[in-house]
Amino acid sequence: MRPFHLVAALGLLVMALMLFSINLGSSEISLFDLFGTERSHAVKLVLLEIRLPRTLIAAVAGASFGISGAAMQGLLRNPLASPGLIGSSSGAALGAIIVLYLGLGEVSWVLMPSGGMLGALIAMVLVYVLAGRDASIVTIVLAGVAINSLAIALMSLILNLAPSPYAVQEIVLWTLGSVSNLGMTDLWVMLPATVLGWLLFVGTGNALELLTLGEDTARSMGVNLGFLRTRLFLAVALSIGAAVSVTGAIGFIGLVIPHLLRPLVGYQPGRLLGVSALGGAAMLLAADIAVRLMPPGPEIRIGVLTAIVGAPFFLFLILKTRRWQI
Amino acid sequence: MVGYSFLLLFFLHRQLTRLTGIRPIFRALVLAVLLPGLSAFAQSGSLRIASINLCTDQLVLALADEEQVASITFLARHAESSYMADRAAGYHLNHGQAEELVSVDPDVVVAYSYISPAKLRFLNELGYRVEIFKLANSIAEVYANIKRMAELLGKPVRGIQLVARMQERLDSVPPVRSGYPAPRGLIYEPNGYTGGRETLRGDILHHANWHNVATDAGITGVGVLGLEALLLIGADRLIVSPYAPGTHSLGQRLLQHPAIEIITSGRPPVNIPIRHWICGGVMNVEALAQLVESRGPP
Amino acid sequence: MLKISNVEVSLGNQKIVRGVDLTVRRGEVLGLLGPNGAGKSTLLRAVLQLIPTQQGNIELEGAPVNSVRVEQRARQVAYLAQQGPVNWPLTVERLVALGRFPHRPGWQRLTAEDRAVVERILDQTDLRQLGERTVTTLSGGERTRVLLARALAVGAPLLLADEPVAALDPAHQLQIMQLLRDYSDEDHAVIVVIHDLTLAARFCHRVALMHEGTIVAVGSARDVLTPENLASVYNIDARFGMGEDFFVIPWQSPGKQR
Repeated sequence: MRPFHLVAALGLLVMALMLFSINLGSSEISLFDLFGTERSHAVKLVLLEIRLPRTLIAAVAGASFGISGAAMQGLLRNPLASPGLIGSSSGAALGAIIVLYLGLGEVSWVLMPSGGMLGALIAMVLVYVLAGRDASIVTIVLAGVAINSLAIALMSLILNLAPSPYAVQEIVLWTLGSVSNLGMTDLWVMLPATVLGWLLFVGTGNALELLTLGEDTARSMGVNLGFLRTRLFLAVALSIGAAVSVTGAIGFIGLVIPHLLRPLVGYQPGRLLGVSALGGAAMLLAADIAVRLMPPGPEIRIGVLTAIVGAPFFLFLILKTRRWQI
Repeated sequence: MVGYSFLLLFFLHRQLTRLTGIRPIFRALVLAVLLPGLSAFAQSGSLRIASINLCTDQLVLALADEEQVASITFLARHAESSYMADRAAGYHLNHGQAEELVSVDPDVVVAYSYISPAKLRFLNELGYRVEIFKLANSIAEVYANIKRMAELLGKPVRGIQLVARMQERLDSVPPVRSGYPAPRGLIYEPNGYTGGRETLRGDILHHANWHNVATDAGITGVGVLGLEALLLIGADRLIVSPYAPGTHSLGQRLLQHPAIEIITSGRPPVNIPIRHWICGGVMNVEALAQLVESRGPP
Repeated sequence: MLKISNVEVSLGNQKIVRGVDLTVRRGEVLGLLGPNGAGKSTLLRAVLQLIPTQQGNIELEGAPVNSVRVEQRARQVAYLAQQGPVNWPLTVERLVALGRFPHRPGWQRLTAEDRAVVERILDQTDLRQLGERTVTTLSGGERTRVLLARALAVGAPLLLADEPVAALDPAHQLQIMQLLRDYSDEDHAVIVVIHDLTLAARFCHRVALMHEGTIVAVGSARDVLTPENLASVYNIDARFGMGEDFFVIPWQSPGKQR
């Protein structure tokens, strides 16, 4: 069966990338050293406290970006939609920045991802309200640009005024993302909201597919549009908010992955969800591996790599859309 | 000094006016001739110095007389980063901007070598004499800076005395117990910055008879040590100096990474107050003393 | 089966449907005729509860249509929208299969029974050969047939079709109308909004003529499509064919001499 083949293939790819990622680092330690006895304490430390969280976080965050992109494209019935476009990434970053740099992160571990989620949700709602209910993709893009600009401006302001002297230079991280220097605590912090978000995605596949026929027909077939919209917005806010509060805003995954995989699932929006999660995980893992294979020097931000792949892809998309008038 | 000269002038003026027949213009001429000479007398040995950098503030406050200090930076008053914070009370405070100096009209402006070229050019254009001090990368260079500042202020003896006292403290550092290796320390700062060979902190570590682990990694000057390298390099204790404690950023969070706690086996980091070695100066012996004390049994 | 009593529907401040009474019985095709803006589509959408009614009752099988849960209503009424979009290039077979979704709420997958229904519908609508084609590559007539097949696949007792043949060539028009006619049997009924008066006469059991929000006449085509009604409602003159076959051909607007 074709669907099973695709899922299995992607699953294997993700596993392989994860193994490769755990094996790769700035020191010469490989996975096999785990079974040796030489310096086992340091080896275990490097593998379990540095490389493993990095790998897992890249996979989980990548999956969130992927599935959110697929959901948004299904809901808006447009292949150009992505979590970044509708403001969720920059909103999440703003929320997380407000919590972190004003010292609220110390109060409770739950505050930073909560800030991210709240920020993502507010930004998305603003874009939605600004663009109006039956907005064309152009209107949505414009609204997204407006809210994104506002969020980034506020981020810069807060970082500039933050008490910490290191804050200002960290804006690059928040706008381009990074999965380095993360520990298992960061993974645990991210996980609850992410899982909750993913659970909300599950079960929306049929409704998204019915939207193929337009809103009226979908409603006539039992789709509760308002409920679906709310549910998907919440799911995106939860998963993207949690991811961005740990990794910073990483773009283009939510745009590129659903697009690449859509023909492989027969264009069915429902099947695209799960498959995009796997694809997103693979893409972010691959990007992180590429970052670590780069020659030593100042760290290349992971968002730069996804942008190098994603931006030409986006251009190609636009050209293709113009030719075929989708 | 200035006060006395004015008093003198006043009496002179009284004398001149008593001599009836001397016309006012002659009085003015006499005063005009005498005045520069008198002000030179009033100011000899009283060079007024303005410092636009925290570290030159420290040197100035350690060596200058009260009336020599035209202006220091506002940072000199911050107890956390300025060792001389108490002594900095009552002076004109600047924010490193050239315009602020116009009202105090110093004779010399002192700054460090990483002053922006634009600012340096501007100060020169305004006609100020600017003395640039090089960043001290070792105790020896700290001594050189102290002596130079002392000479600039016309107090060379003070400089020599200060250096001698510092050297005494250095000489009295006990050696490591024979048979035991020097304790392995690593300076670690937000974003993973560390100091290796040819840094002031590294030199202080060395004089305290610690082994600076960063040199094993071949780090010269300021460098970055990634988490993996940190874990593998084997430091007994980390040496930290929180700058702006109580503030938050991702770079500062790095120091709380669980791996770091594990590698030091729960031994707390040596917490050197930043004011003791952010600048080169007399306060470095405090950092030295603290490091010696922390050497303790491994 | 469907009973519409004294229904009023407003869109914004405008009353579109005023005091409409209408009954539809099983086994019949009811044609809903009237000029543009008469309220035909609005009435259909009110039956579907896509828009609320301000007054009156709509009862389906005796139960008020707004008291039924959305999922259940989806199984009772199927909708073929006017110029419905197809947002993703699905295959014909998949698109038709979408019609079975109301029977599989949530994330349930389609069963073998559903697949059998889909096969049957594809045969009925003569879409078997096109099964693997992408919908976006089809001609207009084929596409409408696919969308109709989707609506048929729901298997709902009531089917509402809004101007299904508007943009089609004569052959396809006949084909679609025949499919609708075939659908109406002892268990099913169809309401179709249509502009072609002859097609309405040919394929509908009864027609209802709407004008400015009310039903002006309802009954057999011959009884409703009289010259007087056509003149007052459509403002047209028509030519008629009598005898066994009844056809109506709009001929000219009054005031224009040819």
